[in-house]
Amino acid sequence: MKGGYVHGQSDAIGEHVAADPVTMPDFNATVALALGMDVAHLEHSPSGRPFTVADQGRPVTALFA
Amino acid sequence: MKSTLTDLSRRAFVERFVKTFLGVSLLPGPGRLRAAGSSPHPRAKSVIFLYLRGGLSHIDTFDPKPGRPEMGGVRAIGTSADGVQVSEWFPRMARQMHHVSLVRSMTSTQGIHELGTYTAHTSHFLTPTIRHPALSSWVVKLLGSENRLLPANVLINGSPQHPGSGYFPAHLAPLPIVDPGAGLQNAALPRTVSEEDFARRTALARAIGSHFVQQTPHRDAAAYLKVQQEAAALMRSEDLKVFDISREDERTRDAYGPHTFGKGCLLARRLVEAGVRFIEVEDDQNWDTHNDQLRAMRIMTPSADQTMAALLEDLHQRGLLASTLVVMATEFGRTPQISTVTAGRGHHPGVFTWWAAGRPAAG
Repeated sequence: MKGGYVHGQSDAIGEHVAADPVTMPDFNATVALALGMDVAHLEHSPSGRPFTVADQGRPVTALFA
Repeated sequence: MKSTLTDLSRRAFVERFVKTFLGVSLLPGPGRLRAAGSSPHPRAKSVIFLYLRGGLSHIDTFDPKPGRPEMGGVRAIGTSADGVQVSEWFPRMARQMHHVSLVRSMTSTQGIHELGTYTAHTSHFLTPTIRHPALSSWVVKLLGSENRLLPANVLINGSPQHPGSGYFPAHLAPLPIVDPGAGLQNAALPRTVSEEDFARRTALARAIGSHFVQQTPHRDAAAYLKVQQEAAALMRSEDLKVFDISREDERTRDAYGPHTFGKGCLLARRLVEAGVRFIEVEDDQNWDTHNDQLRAMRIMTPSADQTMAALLEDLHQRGLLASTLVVMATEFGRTPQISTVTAGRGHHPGVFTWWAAGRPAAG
């Protein structure tokens, strides 16, 4: 991760996202990618439903140094 | 804990089982399922996932709004990172900001603790029809562990709302450490049980268990038997010492602090050194500051600031920050407006801050 880095911003009072929204799935996908995981890898629940780590969140690669 | 019978009984069973038998995770081998070219970035080996439960106010912490009335008089201070300010409640973290990537544009639609916590851990919405695995269970399922004997997935001071391994097999659930100062409980043989007795009993249990596993076409039947075998191996292992933070020198223990979060983070660093893949540490303080925001922050921030800064500094000094990812997460932020009735802040999932630190080394 970059150090001393700020990604995205909230508005003047911290009420809304002002730039570059990041969801929890996006952040978790970032963690997975930082570990070298394949974020597109499919696993199946016992009933056969396909899932990916972090539910197809988009990794915030801007954080990577 | 209100849940479906299936989830409740499974979770309760796993927790009790783990407490009794140590719950050594099954390690699915060293195979890394990283697709060629899927990650051009250097890889982290371990994650320390810090969870500040209750919903951490963003503007009182890592996204201050200097001079705004919404700050309630709290100042912003400069940090070791050019142009990055944090609130005055975090003077020690301010000196660590050159290690940190702040994400000040986190956003969610889940404004209730249970739902936000679930999504923070699983990336999914909570629904009645399925229990999703936490990120930690995904990580150990796909990456396995660097340490053959220790559990790959550890949850320190976790809340009952932690989703565990979800629909993944039970062996991928985190090993819960309830009191990080007490280490791993029930890990020694009772005085009345000799090594011989224990060996005979585990052999007997294995014999009985094997039959049951053959007769029971359920993956968790095999998972529990394997957990038991791994646990028995760990009981005889030197690796057990890793759970004992009293082996750290006094200066280090003081740096992290005497509170649960401090002890938990110190234990997390020891587990990282031992090759444990994913450690979540929950702060035992409740950041759900509906009443008297300023007073609540005055009480709670010193220990959180101390512990998180000490963790980053310690990892850095030991060269571990190069291969460890430290994440701070919470279920949502809090309203910019301080309530005129309660002097606190309400839930605010619209925007909030998480951060990550650590620079995976090349290669």
